[in-house]
Amino acid sequence: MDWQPIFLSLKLAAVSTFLLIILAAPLAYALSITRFAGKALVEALINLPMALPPTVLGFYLLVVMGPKGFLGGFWENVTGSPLVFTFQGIVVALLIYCLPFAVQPMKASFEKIDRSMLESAYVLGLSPVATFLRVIIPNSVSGLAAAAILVFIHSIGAFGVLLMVGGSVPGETKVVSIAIYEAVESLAYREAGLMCLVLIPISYSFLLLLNLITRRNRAWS
Amino acid sequence: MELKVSVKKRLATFELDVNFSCSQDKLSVLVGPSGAGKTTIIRLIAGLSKPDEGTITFNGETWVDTRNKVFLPPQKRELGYVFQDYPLFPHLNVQRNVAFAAYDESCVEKFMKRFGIWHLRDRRVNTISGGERQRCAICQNLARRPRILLLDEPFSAIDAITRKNLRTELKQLNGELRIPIIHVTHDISEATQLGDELLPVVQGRIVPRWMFQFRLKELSFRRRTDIEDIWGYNDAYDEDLEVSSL
Repeated sequence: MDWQPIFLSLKLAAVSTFLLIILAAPLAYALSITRFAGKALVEALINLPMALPPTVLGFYLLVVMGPKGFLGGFWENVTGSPLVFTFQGIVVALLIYCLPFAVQPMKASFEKIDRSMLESAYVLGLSPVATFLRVIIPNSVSGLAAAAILVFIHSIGAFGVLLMVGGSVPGETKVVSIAIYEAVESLAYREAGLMCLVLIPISYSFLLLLNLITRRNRAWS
Repeated sequence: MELKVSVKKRLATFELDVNFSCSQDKLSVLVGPSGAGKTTIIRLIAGLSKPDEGTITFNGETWVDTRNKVFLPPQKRELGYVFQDYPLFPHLNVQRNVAFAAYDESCVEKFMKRFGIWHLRDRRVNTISGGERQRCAICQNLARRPRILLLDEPFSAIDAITRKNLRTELKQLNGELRIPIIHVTHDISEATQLGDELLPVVQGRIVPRWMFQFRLKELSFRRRTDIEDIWGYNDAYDEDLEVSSL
């Protein structure tokens, strides 16, 4: 069995989870504490990848990230290499695809924090950024963990978006879901079955962890 | 050190319009029925709320001046604020809570011992009682060496014995700290017992003592239920209410 797609998937999931938690936390915090006209529109836009068929999202990402798209063009100007059909390209695609899975649990977790605790931190001299790092984050560990697990699982399972944006370049974009699909297409059922078998305990253990965190969180509250 | 407050703020049912000052060494008590605007006043002082109009100055330093669009954020006012529900940080133990914004570590132990919570230093704050949490919140604010201390009904949710001890401790602290302390309560006996200066608040206004006294006497002729309705608090007359002491 070819282990490369499995390792590539794990690497992709780890990178995108790490980046997404850092990028989505301030966004989720801003959404949890602010009220502004059009907030519902912004939230719906963030959640749009959940509602769209992955191939539709993948198509638009391919257009935007292609050499003539604004993101792809910008990337090529800066780095000198294309964004689509590369590892970096599928990371960017996953960041957008998985954004709602990161934002929603974190936002829910931030919203649970007592406002007077934040006011107490301000009065004790903490800036909003210091309050976020010293009070909000330590008290939202379960929400952050839930977000990380959801993003990781969705990253491992992503198929349509990755196929559109990354294609199937071995060692670069050929992740396990694409490798399984290709193995089935070429009637290599044994190889496809083995790769599926490896994925089951990985996904199951992360889901189990998510369940434990949710239960512990419920017990605390 | 003197705090001067002259602010107006439109609230849901009335306009808050207060003008008063608090000086060093004085424990000023904002006393009045629930919903009179007491908490709003100290939130304005703390910078957690903005007035529609007016000024707040402390020791010659302008904290708020709506005309000149000056607003000093709460972080820069260097004050202590003990909230009514004393929100502590659940991810930290008692000692780390007290030390959270402490001026120096040595005063943490000193205040914790003084308020009798040193033995709880390693406990999580969600495993201690309401009275202990209250003392922890007071220590947390004192350890910061505040320039002014604001207390929002800090004794409302604790038992009578702890309340009495804390009142005594607060009175002693007032003499030692030499900073203005503003205490908010709806308990008249607590106000008369603690306050060097009483600031009776009724419907968003600080009323003269004689008017407050008159109002209380007038209320005392009414049926008890009416009084409870007006004060929104049925303990107001449980403890020794001495109108004459006002």
